[in-house]
Amino acid sequence: MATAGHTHSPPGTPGLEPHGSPALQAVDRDRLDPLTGRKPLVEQALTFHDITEAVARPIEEPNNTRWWIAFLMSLSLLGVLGISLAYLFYMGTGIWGLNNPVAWGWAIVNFVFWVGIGHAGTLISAVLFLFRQKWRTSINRASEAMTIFAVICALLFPTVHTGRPWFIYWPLPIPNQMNMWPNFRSPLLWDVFAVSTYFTVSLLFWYVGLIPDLATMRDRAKTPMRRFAYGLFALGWRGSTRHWLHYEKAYMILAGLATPLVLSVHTIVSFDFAVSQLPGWHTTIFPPYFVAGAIFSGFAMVLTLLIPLRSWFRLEHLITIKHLENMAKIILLTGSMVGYAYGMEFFIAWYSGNPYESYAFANRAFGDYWWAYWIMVSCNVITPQFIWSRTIRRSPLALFILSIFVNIGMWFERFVITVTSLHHDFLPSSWGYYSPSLWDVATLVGSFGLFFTLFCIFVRYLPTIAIAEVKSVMAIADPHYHPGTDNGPGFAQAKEQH
Amino acid sequence: MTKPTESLKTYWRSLADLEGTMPAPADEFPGAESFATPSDETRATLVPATKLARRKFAGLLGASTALAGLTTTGCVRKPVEHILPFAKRPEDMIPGQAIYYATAYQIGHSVLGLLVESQDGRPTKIEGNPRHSGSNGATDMWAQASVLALYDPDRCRVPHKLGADGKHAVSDWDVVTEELGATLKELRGAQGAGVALVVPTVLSPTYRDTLRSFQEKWPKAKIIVDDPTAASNAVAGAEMIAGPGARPTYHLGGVKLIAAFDSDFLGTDFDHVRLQREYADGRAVTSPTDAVEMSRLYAVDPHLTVTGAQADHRLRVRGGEVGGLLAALADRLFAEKDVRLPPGGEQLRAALPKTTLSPEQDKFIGALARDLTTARKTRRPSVIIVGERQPAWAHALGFLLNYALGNGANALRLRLDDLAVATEGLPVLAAGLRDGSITQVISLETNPAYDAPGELGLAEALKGKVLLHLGHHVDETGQIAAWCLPASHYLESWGDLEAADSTVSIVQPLIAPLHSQNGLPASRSAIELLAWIASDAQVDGYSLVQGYWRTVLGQSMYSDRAWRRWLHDGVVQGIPRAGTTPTPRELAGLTTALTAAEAAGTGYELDFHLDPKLADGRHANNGWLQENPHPLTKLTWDNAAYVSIETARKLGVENCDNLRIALGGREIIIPVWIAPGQADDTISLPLGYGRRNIGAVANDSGIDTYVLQAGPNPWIVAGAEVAKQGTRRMVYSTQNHGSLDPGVDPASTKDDSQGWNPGRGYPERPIVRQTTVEGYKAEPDFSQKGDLIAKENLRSLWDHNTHPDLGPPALIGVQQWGMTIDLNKCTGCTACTVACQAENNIPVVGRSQVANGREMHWIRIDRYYTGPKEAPEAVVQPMLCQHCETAPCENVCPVNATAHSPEGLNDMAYNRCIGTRYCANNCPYKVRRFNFFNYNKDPVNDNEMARMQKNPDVTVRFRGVIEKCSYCVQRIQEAKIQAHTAGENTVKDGVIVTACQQVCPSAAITFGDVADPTTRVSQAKKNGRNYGVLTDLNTRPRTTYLARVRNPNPELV
Repeated sequence: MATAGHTHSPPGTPGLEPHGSPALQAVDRDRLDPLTGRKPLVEQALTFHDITEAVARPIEEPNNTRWWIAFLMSLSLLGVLGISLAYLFYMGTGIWGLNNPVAWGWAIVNFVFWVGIGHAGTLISAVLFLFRQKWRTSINRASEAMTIFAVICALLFPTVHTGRPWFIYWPLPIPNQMNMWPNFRSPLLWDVFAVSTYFTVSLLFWYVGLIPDLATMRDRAKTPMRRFAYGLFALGWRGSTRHWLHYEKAYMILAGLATPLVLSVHTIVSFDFAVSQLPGWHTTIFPPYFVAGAIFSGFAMVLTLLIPLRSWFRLEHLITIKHLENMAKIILLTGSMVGYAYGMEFFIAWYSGNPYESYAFANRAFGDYWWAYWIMVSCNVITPQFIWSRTIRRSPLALFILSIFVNIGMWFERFVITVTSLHHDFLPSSWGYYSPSLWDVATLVGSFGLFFTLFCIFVRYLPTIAIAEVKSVMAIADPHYHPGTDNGPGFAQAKEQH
Repeated sequence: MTKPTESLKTYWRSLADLEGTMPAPADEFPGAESFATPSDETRATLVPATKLARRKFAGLLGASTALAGLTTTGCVRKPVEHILPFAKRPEDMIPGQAIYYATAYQIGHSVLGLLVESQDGRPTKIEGNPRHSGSNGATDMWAQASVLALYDPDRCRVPHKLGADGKHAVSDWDVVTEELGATLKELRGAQGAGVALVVPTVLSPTYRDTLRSFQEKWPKAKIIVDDPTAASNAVAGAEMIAGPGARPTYHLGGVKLIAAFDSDFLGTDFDHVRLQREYADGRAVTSPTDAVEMSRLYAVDPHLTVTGAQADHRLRVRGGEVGGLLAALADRLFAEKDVRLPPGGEQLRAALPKTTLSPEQDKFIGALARDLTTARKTRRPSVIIVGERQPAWAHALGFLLNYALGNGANALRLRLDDLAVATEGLPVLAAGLRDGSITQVISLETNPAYDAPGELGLAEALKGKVLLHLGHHVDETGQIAAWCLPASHYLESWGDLEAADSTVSIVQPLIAPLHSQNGLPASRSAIELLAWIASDAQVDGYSLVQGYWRTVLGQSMYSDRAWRRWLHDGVVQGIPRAGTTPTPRELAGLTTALTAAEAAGTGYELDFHLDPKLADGRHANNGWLQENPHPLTKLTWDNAAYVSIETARKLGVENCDNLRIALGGREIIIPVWIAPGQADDTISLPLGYGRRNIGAVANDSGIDTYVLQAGPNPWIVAGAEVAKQGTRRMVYSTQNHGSLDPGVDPASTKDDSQGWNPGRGYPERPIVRQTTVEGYKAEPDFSQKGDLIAKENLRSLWDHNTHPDLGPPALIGVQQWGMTIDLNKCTGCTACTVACQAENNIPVVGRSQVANGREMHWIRIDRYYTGPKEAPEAVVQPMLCQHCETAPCENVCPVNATAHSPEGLNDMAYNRCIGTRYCANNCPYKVRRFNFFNYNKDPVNDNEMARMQKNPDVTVRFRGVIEKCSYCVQRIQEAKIQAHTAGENTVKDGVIVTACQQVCPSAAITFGDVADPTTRVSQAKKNGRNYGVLTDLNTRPRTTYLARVRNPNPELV
């Protein structure tokens, strides 16, 4: 995206003129960044200390009413999860709407949904890092936290959906006296490895990135408890050059490790379906299609979380409209890929000449679950097309609403894939219909409770924006920064003269 | 080391306390009392006291901890068990080794010889006795499920006496003997005046003998038969035309042409097990040349039954028109010179009711008549079978036609039942009760208050009149009986049964009566009770039965050795009977009946039929039968009013909408179920549901339809008022989809689009493959057509795998198990589903679970309709685990819970299964079942009685695991062990018989070693009709099917 030509463009080049309304121009005026020729990633003339204050202050202020409301609401939903799971363990999977042809229902739908959401964080933090996309710095922390919490929610579902969850450790390759190994041919086992590896690396990546900020929090802490807690996890960070050297190497290595995982985890999750032979599941397009869909839903969830967060924590100057716009563009891209995949599935179903396959797809669109299919198509294919409009992609409210639609659509995508394929397969004699029970709904709602509770705790106790990283992308961080020029044209001209 | 001893002592003492075997010591904490009320005086003694208390306390602490450990590991206290270990083990009894005893089972006029498996004294499984002509080694679902009835927890266990408050109070046999004995003595003194004895069909020689002695002692008493399962119309028809005592039997051996007039001879009509075997033998085809010799079946009926589904040609007509069609057929046949009538035939021909036939009916009857005459000319045996629901004259006419066609003594045999006791029907009882000539009713294993036609009003009329009721439940009659006495199950009592061909079996008990009172058996068999009623002497069943045979055969023929032989074989040989054979010569009665025959009624016609599962309702409290899907509609736990699509449209109803059906002031509200193949303007109503307070299983299951029965022939009643009622009652079918034609939904009144309807229909799928005889001749490999990918193009991923450790399952066993199911023989009777349930401890899950598609049956009988929506052909296909060689379920299980055995079995390790259900998803045949709940802990499956039925060789599965057909691996292992003990490396062909194969009345299932080309199963697989379902998926199923060949009449095609 970055081109060298922009670096030397004079200010006010017609192509770079803002297209927004005159009111917006004051804030969003395309004043060129002296280094990259782009808009500044951090708006307003801020010092390093201002950044620290802006991020650390919200988590140091006790009795934040808005936070308490959000937290207690999340906690009560978590209680719903607790009750649902307790009843599930007591009674058995029969409390859900599952039946004979449809042996996988909402639990697996939710699993794939949450794993998908867990994609954006690592993509933002690792892939964009490797591609030197500096705009990632103000959103990577929260997205990574989202990833971790989403993967926690995701891991919950395959665990509790089994008939005997107390034996959930059996798929792990634990040496035992019977020499019983798990079945390495099973995609479910690959899942166990893929998702747990993804979780571990994401957690480590997140934690390593947190260390300098934890040290900042430790240094700012006013109570011994906070000092101890932050200090413990800051691992004695003092910010020395040697620390930074090690830190950046470790971060780069982890980014390198995490990048293939972004692609592998949903690829392998898609194998759960693609490796089976059910019409509608047995599809070679699934791995790329799932990854695109996962990034799509992940970015949507990042928007869902960050749009309120930037407003409530007054971080608009750090998470700028430009960030939102960039994410919206990724949503548009991946959404269109998903739409393409939907079309391609139908083409192949027809082109393959396999009657079971063509029936499965016709049944998706026009069968008993036609409504789910069309909800999916409207949310996933039509909704993102609004992003072509510049007004919409620069409006936080519009993007928030849009992101909710994408979240719904992506949940339905997994529902459509899982349930419509299962309910009508090869032998018409065993066809059935699946409808969820109250407990299915409660478990999904409860998983949102778990997710938001964790997220609330995160925003309350940890810096939601990578303080150290954001500082590095500020104009002020540039060694050639000239304080008097407000990193504006004057500075650029000064640089020209060099 | 005083401390441990001390605590040990305390430990035992407290354990004893806990058990309650030892009184608690008066002072647990010496000094504790003084501790509680300290005073200056006691303060001095306080120190040593606390010291002692501390030591004791420590001891108690240890003990209670130890106890806590004990009790947490065994919270559930073991019940007190009385064990009687064998000091000397009885000969031939090996604990854990099943023993089989021969006995016999009766329903209506059908008798099945059985071999019952006994596990350590508990009867657990019913199998057919191959020596018995009625069963030929097979059974039906009723006999299969009868073992569960033995362990029915709702059985009437002790005698009950009706108190003044109208409620039953528990009584005992001493009181019964004394009080009821006095009443009976009084009645006997009056020669039984005003008494009616209600009995079911009696086929037991001893029972008949007892009845005769009752008649002697109670000459004025009436003997009434109440048995909806009996073939009473057929018997009446035979007696009408061939004199009293004439009994008909049909025999299909060698028969090439069968015309079934409203007969469900493969399903519920009498002798169905034997007829099914004979029918299936006539459909055995190995090559196109055989196919030409195959039998042809015509069916004329209002309701699609198992028989109708088998028919090569089926004509759906109103039940009341069947007789007219038979008369029309007779008229055409009598015109042929080959068809000879006995003297008096001309008047009879003139008396035949004249019916106008629709063009379709005319064509059908014409073709049938020509086919029958051709068969007559070419000396190919044929038979006309008239169904039990048709009036006696139709039967008589049918018999006459059979004789005229030369089928007498071959396909239709009449014999003289000279031992039968003259009885009367329920209308006599109703009339007697109405006019006061009957004041006391004795009901022996009958239920007139429930199963009498509603028109007779017996439920009301019997109130206060039933003196005693002997029954298995406190049923509708028992509830109003002054004395309700528990009946012994046939597996608990002695008896004997005479089959349709005069084969006699001794019914021997396998277990002492389960329920006892004061240490004595609390139940009586009907024979025992009747003997007591007759003569006031309480004789046990064994003496009665053995005594009868000793007397009847005399010293010359009877010996203890012969008796033991009979018990062993299950068949009595050499019973002396009168040698005369009745023939249909007495045409006068039939001519009169024909003249008087009512024309088919108009308006809505109600067609009552025995439910294929619950029969007349006697099996209503049997969970296996309630949950077993109906052979065609696949309904479980409920009955419904079956209507045609046209009638449903006319009434404006869809499935489950309630109908109000009224007749003669009586009405019922019953949900509707659209049954393709049903005749228009007829409503088929299964009997046997809507039982009132007889047990947990039966209650709230279905609607009682007896209420509407009326008229001289209560099975078919015309002129009912039928309307949509407005409410709904949900009834559940295990198979909602089932047309093999694209775009056709047979269960909808809506017009399906002619083309492809993506939501409902689907492209044609080569699942069930069938052709006609002509098609078979033209294409002997027709069964191979339809594979999406030709066999030679199928490539396995394993084929180019070179790694030694990765590969398809190593099938290195010497013997490789496989199965074939002959779709040409399978009638879809669903006996195998019940047999499998009995053998493999499959739980009953209940209506609500079935409603959500969670039934656990390891075999389901898939039924597909094909052809026109209103009058489709139905095909059936048993679907069970196919034991694929490259099973899709195996590679997706993350924990290896399902794996392949070296002998080709797809094994299930229940205790390894964690229940991901991935295998169920990936099974293309959808034969895996999941324990969504702990079904086996449900009281229906896990009560102290039902537990006794469980097969000890099969794991009772727990919640959260997948289960499925194992090819009865326990039977395979048993046979292998025995072969091993005998020093053989392999199990001989035919030794292993799976439960479904064993029960199959049509012998459609063959199981054995497919690695050995000489075995029966290998031979069957060589049959050109052999094909696998969904083999395109490269699953390589071990279960394969022999495609069906229909034999239509070219004239009607």
